[in-house]
Amino acid sequence: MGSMMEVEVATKKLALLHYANDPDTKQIFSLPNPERIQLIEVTDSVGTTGEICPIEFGPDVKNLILFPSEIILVSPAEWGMIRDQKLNLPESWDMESLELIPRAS
Amino acid sequence: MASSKDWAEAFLRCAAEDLEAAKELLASGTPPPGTLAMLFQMAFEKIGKAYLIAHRGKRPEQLRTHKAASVALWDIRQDTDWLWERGHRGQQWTRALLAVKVLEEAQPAVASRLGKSEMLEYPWEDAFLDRVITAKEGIPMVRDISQQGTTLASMLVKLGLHLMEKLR
Repeated sequence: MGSMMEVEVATKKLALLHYANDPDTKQIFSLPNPERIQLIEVTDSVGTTGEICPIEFGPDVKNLILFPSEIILVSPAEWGMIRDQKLNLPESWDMESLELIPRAS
Repeated sequence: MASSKDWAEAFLRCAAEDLEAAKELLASGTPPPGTLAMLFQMAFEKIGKAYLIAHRGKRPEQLRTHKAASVALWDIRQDTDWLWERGHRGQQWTRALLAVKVLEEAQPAVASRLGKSEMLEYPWEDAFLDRVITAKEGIPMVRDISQQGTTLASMLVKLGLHLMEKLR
């Protein structure tokens, strides 16, 4: 297990990789967690399904992402529904704790 | 005699198992890229067959070839009113659908029919590199699917679940 700061650094690195990899990503938010990376990504690359499906990834040592991650992709419309509390994130995801990771300028 | 609905549901159950296995591989850390790609290819092939039964009136015995599934996936890509929510087109699913197309064309029987060397499951001799290589070396998207640094796997899972939900 790494320190909170190590997870934060890995979280930012992964978010920036995802911004670069998917140009249709609008915003990425992280949920601070001492053990794993948790990201919710608002992207035009997925449709509006009304379903939240977190996908877990094991650590990717080859790419120096040394922590497991949990990724939720949502469309902009779904993000609006989440903010309006018409669509719920999984129980362990606290909306109030989400932090925006800006795209690198 | 089993109804078309029975058959479509059975294909969807099989697809759900493939997608679940893909999710478990991703969670395990450093999943074998070729195996992961095959699981996604198999899931979408079965979803394609369920679509042909449910929306095109095909009988299961007409769907025993990979060609049938390729046609179905092409059909799904064109059926945009069904695939997209009205008013929310944008770039939705474009990358995931392109990935599905690449995977489908790399299915060995389909690749052979298309005259392509690059395929899932089996190695091939790369004339440029002058050596025998596998899908994770020769098909960049196969490598991308297995890496945390891309969101392709997440897109494919979400698209697969979306299509299965629409077909139920």
